[in-house]
Amino acid sequence: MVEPFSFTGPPSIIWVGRYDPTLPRPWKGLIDPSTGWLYFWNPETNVTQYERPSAPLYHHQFQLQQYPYPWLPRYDRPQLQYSHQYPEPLSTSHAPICASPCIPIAVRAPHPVTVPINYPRYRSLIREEGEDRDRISELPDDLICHILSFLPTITAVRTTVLSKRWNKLWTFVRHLDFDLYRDRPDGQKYLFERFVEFVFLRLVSLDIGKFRLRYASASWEGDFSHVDDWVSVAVWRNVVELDLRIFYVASGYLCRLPKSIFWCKTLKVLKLWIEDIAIPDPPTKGCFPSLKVLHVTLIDPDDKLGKLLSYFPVVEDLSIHVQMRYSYNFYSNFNLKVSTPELKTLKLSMEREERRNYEMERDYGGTLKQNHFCVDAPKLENLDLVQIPLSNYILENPKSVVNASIAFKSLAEEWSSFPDLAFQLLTGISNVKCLSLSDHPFEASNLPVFGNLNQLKLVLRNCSSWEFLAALLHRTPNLEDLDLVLEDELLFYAQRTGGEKDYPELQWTPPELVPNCLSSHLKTISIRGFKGLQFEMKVVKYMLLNGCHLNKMTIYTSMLEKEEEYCRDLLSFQRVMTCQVEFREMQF
Amino acid sequence: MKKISVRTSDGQEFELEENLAMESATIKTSLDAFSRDDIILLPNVNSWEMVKIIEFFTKVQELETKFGVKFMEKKEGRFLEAFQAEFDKDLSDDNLYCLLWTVDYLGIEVLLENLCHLMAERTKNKTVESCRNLFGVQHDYTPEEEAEIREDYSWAFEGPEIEE
Repeated sequence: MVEPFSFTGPPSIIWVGRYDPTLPRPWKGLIDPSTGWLYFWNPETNVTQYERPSAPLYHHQFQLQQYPYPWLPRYDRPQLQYSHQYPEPLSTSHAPICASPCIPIAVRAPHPVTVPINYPRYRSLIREEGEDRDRISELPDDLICHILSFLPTITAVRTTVLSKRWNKLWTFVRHLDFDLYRDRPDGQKYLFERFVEFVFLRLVSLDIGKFRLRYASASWEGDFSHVDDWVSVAVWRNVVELDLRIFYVASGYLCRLPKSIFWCKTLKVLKLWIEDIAIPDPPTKGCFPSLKVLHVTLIDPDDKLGKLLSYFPVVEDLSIHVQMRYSYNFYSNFNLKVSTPELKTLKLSMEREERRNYEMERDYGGTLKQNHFCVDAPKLENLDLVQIPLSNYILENPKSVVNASIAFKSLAEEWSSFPDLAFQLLTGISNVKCLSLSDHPFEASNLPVFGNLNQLKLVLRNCSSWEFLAALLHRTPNLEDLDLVLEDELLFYAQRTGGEKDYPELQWTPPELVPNCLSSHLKTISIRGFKGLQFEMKVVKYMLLNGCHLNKMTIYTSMLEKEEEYCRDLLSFQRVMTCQVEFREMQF
Repeated sequence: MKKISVRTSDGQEFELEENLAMESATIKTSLDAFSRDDIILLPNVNSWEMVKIIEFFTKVQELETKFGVKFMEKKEGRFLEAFQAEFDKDLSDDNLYCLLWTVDYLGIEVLLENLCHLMAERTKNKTVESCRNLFGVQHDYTPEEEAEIREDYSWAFEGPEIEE
């Protein structure tokens, strides 16, 4: 019998076994360099042994959740126990898959070695018909289950036919993804429902990580009891992320979510498309205790949904997308009051279906009622607004916002008050460090000073935006990084027709005073959508000339070959020594 | 920054910076017990895989300094997508399999997530036979057994046609 060698001193070469979190501390799995066998070493007592140290707390059984190293979430996956993992005795002639360690392959262990479940697998060089082929043993079971978790469930289930080992592997998968229209394009709901039940009955995982469902009801009964069952089961199985969208066909019937969802302690992420999902009245307190991320899409919201958001006390990431369809209730109003003490990230976006022509005549005669968005979030750090009508947007406690991204869209109804409202909003968030604006022409004199702003991204859509840029630069004394996106279609057209000189507003006059940030702080500038137009060149040259601290200017252009002369012109233009100018191909 | 030396299966030695080496759970736990001057032997790792891993880390560091976000901690979705596209075109099925195995052995979590995603993408829309090739699976069902399974799971196989 070969004794495992013990260390006499610090080894100069260490050969480690695969990381195994189920090894009780402080044991380590090492490989004896002389034989290539796996053994275990306890550095505290300096004991070495072939037998796997027994783990008093964790058996080689199906494990639920807790692992000794919770900081490695990947190992949340269950330990699998399969007898086939243990190799057959080495009497068979074909090369073993995961039997003996490393090279050479045909060595038989001198005595039965207890092979642990996470037996490290080794490469073995096998000679197949005279060729050397590096053939690795198969992937460990838990890794395969992890890969299967990323697949739609129906695809994962199909792997059962690959081999005997794979027969039941899919049952350990932890994420479920059912989509009626993707999985059954023929729309056979009955078979889809049977499939989902089939999966639930055979699923071994006691904990579901993610449950995604896309479902529709086509029957006139509007029978959504299945959804209720499935969501209940998911909740019962400690679901962490729930992503639901129900497409309705029958009108008047709402899908009700089960009440058990309120008390689900493990639910951290909830994504809902609320068109016809009715959320039942919540209990007065204690609901959604762990929910940190909420993404909802609301179609034609009405007043009731204002109180929806009061259900979520600890949410940190909130994203609300509102779709207003043009219909008889186009002028309905809603009140959304977001009052969440822990909120860190907020994204609000609104989409309005445009009036179609035939509906123009039918003016329902109502005035656009007030939609109120009131946000009270003292810890808010990231703000993202997309096309929100500003008239009724109130942000309380805005000073904490660090990153803001605003895509303005002014509606005809609020044109006159738009500049004031924009000023109010921008003043409120004037402490931001990173700002991204998709601008709309309004008076530059209305801009507050952004004392903390380090990074600025501007989307410039038309000619007067350049004045806006100059004005903004005057108000951002500490700016270090500037990113401009040029989306001027008018100018592009002008260039193509050769009539650049006909557009007086295309002339650019440099500001009288060099903006402070340009001369003292600005380090990097990126310009996307550069077209080599006359005044674009002027602006770039102005920046190069006055950018005393400029490190890098990157210009993205979509027509690299045609702009060569511009490239050469700019590249040879005078600038600070340390500044590097680079041209890159623009990727959409 | 302290450097950790590792030696791969073909004897090539690589020097990793300490914070990068710590991303590998296997190396990290071994370093808990052993001193940092020792050379860590990784006989299960090929040198091309090590090169790929180092490439990955360099790219991540580049992106982190550019965006100022700790990608490893936050696992930003955007970062994952960009990476998948880049890794996807270079790796053949066999290479992806080997790399996946190695990264699992080393316990590098972020890269492992990426590769699992990639592997899952490649599994979609594959026939049974090519799936077997992808995962290196031995076909050990008899035709009767296979027919039986297909019948049991008939509605799973009735769905969208699996293309090659």
